[in-house]
Order: sequence, then C-alpha cells, then structure tokens
Amino acid sequence: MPRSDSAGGKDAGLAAALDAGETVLPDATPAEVVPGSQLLLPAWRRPGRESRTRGFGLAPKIGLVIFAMLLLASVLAPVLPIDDPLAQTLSLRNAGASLHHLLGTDLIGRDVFSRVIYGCRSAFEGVAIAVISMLILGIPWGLAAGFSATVVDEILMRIADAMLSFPALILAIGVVSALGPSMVHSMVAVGVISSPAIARLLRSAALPVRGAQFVLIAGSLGVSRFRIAVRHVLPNAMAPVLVQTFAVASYFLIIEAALGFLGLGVPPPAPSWGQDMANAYLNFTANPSATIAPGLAITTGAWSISTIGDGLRSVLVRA
Amino acid sequence: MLRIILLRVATSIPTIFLSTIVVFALRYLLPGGPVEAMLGGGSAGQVSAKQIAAIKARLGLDASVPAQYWHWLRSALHGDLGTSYYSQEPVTTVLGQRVVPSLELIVGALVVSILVGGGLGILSAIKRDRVSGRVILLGTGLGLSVPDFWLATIAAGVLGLTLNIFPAVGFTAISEDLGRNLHTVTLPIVVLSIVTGCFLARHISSAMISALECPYIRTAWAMGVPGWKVYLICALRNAVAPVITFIPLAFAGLVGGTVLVETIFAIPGLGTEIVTSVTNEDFPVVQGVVLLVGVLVAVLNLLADVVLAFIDPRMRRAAA
Repeated sequence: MPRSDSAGGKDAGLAAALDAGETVLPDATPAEVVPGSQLLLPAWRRPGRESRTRGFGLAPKIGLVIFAMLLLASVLAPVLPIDDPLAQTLSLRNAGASLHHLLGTDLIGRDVFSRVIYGCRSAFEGVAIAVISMLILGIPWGLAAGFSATVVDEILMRIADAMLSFPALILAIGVVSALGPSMVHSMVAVGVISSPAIARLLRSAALPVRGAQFVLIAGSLGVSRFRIAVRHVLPNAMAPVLVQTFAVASYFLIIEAALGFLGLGVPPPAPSWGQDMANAYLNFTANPSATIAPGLAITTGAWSISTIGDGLRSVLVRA
Repeated sequence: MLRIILLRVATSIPTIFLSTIVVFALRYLLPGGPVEAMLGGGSAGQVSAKQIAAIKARLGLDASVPAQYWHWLRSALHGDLGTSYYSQEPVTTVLGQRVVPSLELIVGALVVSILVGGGLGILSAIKRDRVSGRVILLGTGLGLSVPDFWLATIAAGVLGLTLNIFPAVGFTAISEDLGRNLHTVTLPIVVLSIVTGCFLARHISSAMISALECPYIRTAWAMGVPGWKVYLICALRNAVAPVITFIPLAFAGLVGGTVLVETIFAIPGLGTEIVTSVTNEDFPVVQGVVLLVGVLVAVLNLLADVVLAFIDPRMRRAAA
C-alpha cells in the first residue's frame, strides 16, 4: 500500500510495484529498483553510508587485549620475575622510581609495581565472585518469573524493583558491618543486589517464548518447562545478559577497590589496589606514584571491561 | 492523570516495604545475635545467659521475627531508629547532624553533572558523525571507569596539598560562612560530578541520537528550519526524559560516592558516619543509614515515575 510519507512521483514506482503484488526480492534494494528512492531506506542501509553498528570497534579490541593481559598477569604473577609483594625493604621506604623498583616503594618499603601486578588477583577474584553470585541468583529468578503465573511473576518482579536501585556499596558496607570484613561476603552481597537487572532481562526474553505455539505443543507432548526454558529461552537471552554482565563487572571492580580503600576488603598485608591506595595517600606529597599507580590499574581494568561490553553490544544487539 | 499517580504510588509502597525488610534482615547476619553484638565481641564468656535473656526481654528481642519487624518499623515511622552502641545517642540525632553536608555534596554534584554532562551529551549527539563526537564518547567512557575516590585523592593531593588552591580537608558549614563553605565543597563536588556527568552524557547522547534519526527531523531540515532550532527542539524535548530517569540512579550512585569522597576530604557527613560506625561496630547507626538511603532511593524512583507520567504524553495515553 502506498506509503503515507512518499513524496510524489519518485516513489510511485516502488509503491505501484508493491501494490500490484509484485514481490521485491530482499536483496534488490529499492534504490536499485527505483532510482531516487534512497530516502525510503533506513539511515544505515543507504548506499555510501557506513553501517551504524560499526562492528566490534577499535576501542573494544584494545580493551580486550588489555583485559587479557591483566588476566594473564593475575594468573602468572607468582612466576613473573618481579619482587615478592610482601617483602619489605625498610631502608628504601617511599622511594621513587628506580631500575629495581619500577614504580618505587610504598610506605614500608614494598615494591609498588609487584603489588600492582599481584593486586590483579584480588580484583578479579572479587569481580568473579560478584558476577557468579549475580548470575546464579538472577538467571533462575528471571526464568521463574517469565514462566510463572501472573501473580507469582508480579511478586517476583516487585521484589526485583525493590532492589533495583539500591546502592551496592552501601549494602556491602552494611553486610561487612554485620559479618566482619571479608571479600567473599561483601562481593556476594554486591552480586545479589545487582541480580534484579539480570532477572528482568531474562524475564523479557522468556515472555515472547512463553506464548509461542511450539511451546504449547511441546508442553502438551510432555516436555517440561525447565527444558523449554533451558533450550529455547537461554540462548536468546545470552546476548543482553552478556552485555549487561560486562557493564556491571567494571562497576564491581571499582566497588572491590572502594571496599579495600575503606579497609573493609581483603585483610592486609595482601596486595589490593584500593587498600594500597589508601595507605599510600598518607604520603601523597612525598610519594605520589604509590597513590597514582594502583588507581591507574583500577581505571585501566574497569575501562577495559566496560569497552568490551560496549563492543559486544554493538555486535550482538541488532539495530 | 490522578489515576496514574495513584497507581504508581500503590505499586511502589510494597517496594518500599520490601527494602525495609532487607535492611531489617541485616541485623540477623550479626554473628551471635544482636545482643551479643551490642555487648561487644569480647564479652562472650563474661555475661551470663540469664543477663542476655534479660536484655533481650527488655529490648523486645524475644518476640517472634515478624513481631520484631513490625515493632521496629513502627518505631522507625515515629522517628525512633534505635540507640547508637557507641555514643548512646538516638540514631536519629546522630544522623540528623550529618545529613546536611552530605545533601549539599549530592545536590551540588547532581546540578553540576546535569549541566555539564547534559551539555556534553547533547554536543556528542549533534557531532556524532564527526571526530569531536567520538572523542566525547571515548572521554565519557573513560570517565565512567575512573574510580571517584582515586580522583579525589589526586585532586586533594595535587590541588589541595601541593598547590594549595583548595583545601584538601575540612568543611565549613553554610550557616557559618557561605564563601568558605563553597571553597571547601568545590573539590568534592567536582570529583563526584565527573563520574555522574559522564553517565548522564552517555544517556542523553543515545536518547538524542535516536531522536535525530527520526523522519520528522529530516523533514525539518528539508523545510529549511535553522539548525539551532532543530537541535534545540530535539535537545530539550528528548533530553528531559533521560535526565528525570537518571536522577534517582545518580542519587544512588552518588550516595556510594560520597562515602569515599567525604572520608578523603574529611567532611562530616553521612559517609564518614557510616565508615566510622563500621569501624566501631556500631550497628544501629549503620542500619539507620542503610534504611535512610534505601527509602530515599525508592521514594525518588516513585517521584521520577510520576513526573515522567506527567511529561510524556505517550505514557499518559498508554496508561489511559
């Protein structure tokens, strides 16, 4: 039928062709069929204009490389030729950068560079704990809500809304205050408070499948809802869940560092970016690099994770 | 219209109650129970079971859990949030003294981030095909990943300790001296607004870009509407919704941010209060702060929903 915004004669050709019932093959773009009708096409399909979704992107690729390097550093730290992060050289406290100590030493003589490398371990450990607890809680929650009756669905989603914008750091501090400083407890709490977003994503992936005909048929054949959920909903839901996971993972990294900064994370003397920064800040004027280095590490880690998420979003989410 | 507001309020009330339940449940995580925590960790062998039972009866802790929750909620609604273990003052008094500096930081950071972040977001949407737009997007992406407490240490260290432009620590209340107050509060607000500003810039940018792709903009260009008018109409109309949705989210994030920034700049607000209370194992104060924050965030979300319903004709029509 004629498009209401067609501007007269130029588009009449295509409209007339469609009216007459002729099929226009998908790969014969209207621009080829009727010259001058490029305006009918969405912006990203017009000839001569590059795709809106630019593929994975340069920044995400760089982020991926950096993330891989940090992961490798955290795994390989003990075998790398760097100083023991706990070894104190008391004669060299707050020393500046030197050939032996690439980033100088901290207030009790420990090598800052090796503490930054070893700090990757507790950082990624914290992120992993939070991500795992978020997914373990969020995915079944969303699936259950998506496949349940309206009342159960409504209740589950109300609970999700209650937790949705609660600041994770405050809750982590509350949990630490009740249970004592422990990375596992606080990061599990952070993961739990971030799971409603994942639950919502899974629920919205489950809803369209729920009413589909093949599901009704499978159900009448005796296929359990669990199997339908796992085989048909999960694969479709993975894309947004993956994007969301990377986006919040960078936030988890910052929270882990923040808890360390407040002294509520991994107990000393274990290397932790946030805690090292807090200790080094006391001597900022004398030794700025000891404060700047862990912070740069946190920034780099968080940025690499979030750009990977950006890249995944432009690849996985159809425009 | 009124129906929509009432509906939203009605559906938000259970949400707010649920967050109070979460906060209340925290106290059951205390190892050994609330009474043992109140008496301090080292009192394990010194206080007899009979005395503990007596304290429990006095505090009403021997009732069933739902009854305790109801009792706690009722007193909370009357303004009684318990007594601090550390200072024996009512929690509401302790919190009341600390709220104003925190609010100053949070509201200041919100205003600055809306102005600067909003402007940057609109700019990056307008220049989305140019280098400057991509640069702004990269910059905001980086700004989102920077930990705000690191920025605070660097700002305090460089601008405060080394160059002495702004004070690195300390706070002067508004009631004492407005000029000095602004002087002490500038660095914390700037640091806090960097992250939230980047967050808002990205939101507004994506909202505006999807608006600029619409056919009616193309029609406006074709009709010869001057550029600044097109952008202004696009900018104002389409930036309002993201800003309103953003405010409760930013508030939640800023509360977390103020915890650290206040500690670094030694500002006597809720942030330093919660940190010292955790160190002192002063659980009622921590619980009070968590409750306050949770309820505030839920209420702000409700307000944002209502305002959005007012502004956005689509939502009004959808709900009708």
